[in-house]
Amino acid sequence: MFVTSFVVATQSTMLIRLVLTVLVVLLVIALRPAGIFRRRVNAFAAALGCILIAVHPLAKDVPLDSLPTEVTGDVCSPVRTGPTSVRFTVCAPTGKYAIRTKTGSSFNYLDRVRVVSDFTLPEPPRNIGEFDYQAWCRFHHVRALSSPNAMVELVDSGRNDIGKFITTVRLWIDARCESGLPSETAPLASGILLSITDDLPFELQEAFGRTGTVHVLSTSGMHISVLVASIGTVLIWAGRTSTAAAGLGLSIIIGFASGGGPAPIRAVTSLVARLGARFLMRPPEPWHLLCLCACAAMIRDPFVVMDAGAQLSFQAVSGLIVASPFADVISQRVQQSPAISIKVSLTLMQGILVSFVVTLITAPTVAYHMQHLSLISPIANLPVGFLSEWALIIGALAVFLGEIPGLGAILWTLLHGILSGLIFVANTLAELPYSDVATGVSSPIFVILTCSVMTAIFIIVGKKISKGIAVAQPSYFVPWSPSKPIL
Amino acid sequence: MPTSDDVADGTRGLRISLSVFKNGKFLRYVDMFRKVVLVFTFLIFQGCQVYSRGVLTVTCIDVGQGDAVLLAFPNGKVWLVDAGGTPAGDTEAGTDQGHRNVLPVLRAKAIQSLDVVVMTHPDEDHIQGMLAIARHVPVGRVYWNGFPGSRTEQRVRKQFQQRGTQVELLTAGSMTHVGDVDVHVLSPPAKPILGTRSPENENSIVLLLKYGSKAILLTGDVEAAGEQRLLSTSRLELRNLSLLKVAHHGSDSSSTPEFVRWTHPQIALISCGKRNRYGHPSKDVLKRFERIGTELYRTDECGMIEWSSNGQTEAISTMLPCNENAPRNAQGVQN
Repeated sequence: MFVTSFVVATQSTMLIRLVLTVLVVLLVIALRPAGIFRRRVNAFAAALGCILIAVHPLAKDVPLDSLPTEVTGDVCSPVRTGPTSVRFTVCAPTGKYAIRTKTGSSFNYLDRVRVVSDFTLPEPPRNIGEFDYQAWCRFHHVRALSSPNAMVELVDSGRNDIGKFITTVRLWIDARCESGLPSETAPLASGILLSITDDLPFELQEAFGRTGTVHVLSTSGMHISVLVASIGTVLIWAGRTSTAAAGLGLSIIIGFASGGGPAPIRAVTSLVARLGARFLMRPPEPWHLLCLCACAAMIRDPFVVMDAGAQLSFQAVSGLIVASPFADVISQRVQQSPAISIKVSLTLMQGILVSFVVTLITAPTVAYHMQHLSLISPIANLPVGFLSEWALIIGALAVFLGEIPGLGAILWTLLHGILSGLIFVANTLAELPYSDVATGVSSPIFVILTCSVMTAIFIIVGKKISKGIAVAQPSYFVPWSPSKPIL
Repeated sequence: MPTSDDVADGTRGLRISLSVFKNGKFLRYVDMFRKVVLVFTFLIFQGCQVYSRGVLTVTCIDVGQGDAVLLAFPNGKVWLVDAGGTPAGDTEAGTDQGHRNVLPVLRAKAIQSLDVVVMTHPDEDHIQGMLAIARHVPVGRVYWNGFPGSRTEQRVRKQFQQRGTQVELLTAGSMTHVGDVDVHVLSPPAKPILGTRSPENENSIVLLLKYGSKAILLTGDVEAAGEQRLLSTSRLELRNLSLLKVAHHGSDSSSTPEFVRWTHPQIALISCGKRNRYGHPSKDVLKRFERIGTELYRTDECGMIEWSSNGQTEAISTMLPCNENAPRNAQGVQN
């Protein structure tokens, strides 16, 4: 993922891309650092990523002679319905076009549409520190933007029943949240359940950003794990196979319903592979699993490597993998300890440790993309994560059971209370002095250097520590250990 | 109640968990890492100090149709003069310029706190953005012109006071030294100018900064009567300015021919919105400056504009290419 981003960044000819592909594959095979990665899997992942980027039709740098007035192509992004307009991306042979229209929300993912509009080029930022939409568009191969009132005509939707169904489900869930909750908390429910943040007040989004907890607003592994675990708890009597099948089906539905972004794709792929490994009685290897998820995300969109959300999502999971040996040792102690107070303190310690490692690993990328770094994130993630998990469970129940008299009222009231608490916690923590600091990092070289240094430190330190843990816990699965015990 | 055995068991669990961190080699690595971080932090801190020493920077933030000027003094102090906002009744109502434009600039410049905030006058397009500043940035002191205005202005003052920031009145005649820079307050007069079209604008806070051979005038929205008063009370100090923040977004109610001729600024900054409904800046005003050979920079064309000087020489940079004399400032680096 890291190296293939260079290939995209070069935006060069096919020959240079192929040369770079060969170099990347040779590099990965030659390095094989400290037995952490299995070279074949990684070489395959790197090669596949490079080849996908090289042969992707959108990678052709066709210069636009002039801005078009009409474009025909496929809707290739989730259709986002705001209060006054509908936004989506159209993939045409000449590139991608960002469309904004007021003509209704009857478009779905993969529909073929014809757009008539006065297209314009994206504007550069007018102040330092502002989101660089022009650069974003360049990285995502978005060639031009439509005017706010573009005329969009549906050409073909016959092959997209699944897309229609998903859009309908999303809109239905969104409408259920709107009808069941007051206007203060309904947008947050849509954000947590569907990753729709269009109606979320800017200040609240800022508060989540300042506390380093904005990830609760995009469907990720946490969301899918919580829902699958809930299904597992409910279906505990049904046996392992039924529970796994139900969890798998649910996770795929959530992955699609949330718009199929890189984080849901990663989470669903990971879950499928983990369940598959369990059926086959084979130990799932976290780093290899991450490579597989990267492949899946790149198959959907090869340019995902340039997406800040995807970068952070994969880095955060790397952090979780790094922290998992410590966390699991503490978990075992929590289970063994009979005293509640000790259990609570150890659990808190575990949460802070995991949150701290994830914050540390994602810090360079956050500093670069967001221009600020949350200092309170390791602490803030505990209450915010806890509340959002419950909001997710109660929200899912309220959406489906909210019409039942009595029970519905209880569920919606409970959800409103949890969401109000979440808003209060996020706002309060964001208001604390020095909850976040400005970074002023504008150089990608800084990110590359710090990520490389941090990777090296984690490899050296992690290997030493994992050996210690492996001795203390011989049956424990150690991701760094070259000779891993079987589950 | 947990028994003593429970507690012993729990602490043993904690000890085992922590033993991972007490590993001798691990501690050595941690110690090494800590030292490397300390050395790097020291070097970066020193580098930043050397980099910023002796330079006064005036940054005109692009807040659309409004004003927001950031002053970074050579001694590291930072002042914010106005914070933009949406003019009352504008179609962009609800756009929070403080959040959208001012805070990102502060973050990109790694500014954690503001020493002084100046609210030149209570118009929405100058102070609405202060709400975001009051909430998110620690501020040492706030100055205002004592002219009660809109409800927003009252909210801003209340919010600053609630956060323990002193809000003080500023009148003409005050003067302070910020490092080597002299800051003179030329307006509002102790006895306010009344009976004009817009007394709020006429009584704006006007600041004159003197640094070495350079003189910078920040005028708020002061109009013809206010300019006339400035010429009569501070005539000598206003002669041949190095930099002028043109009053009232280039409106023809300000920048009278006499004021422009007398101040004869080398560089003039106009903060105005793209295609704004007020027609700012006025063509007549632009002609007045062009006639005397002033270099004009407009935020609607250039985006953010940054002027800096060491007291002898000066440099100007813009976010967008708009003037062949100004290098483009893509990442906020001084040119």
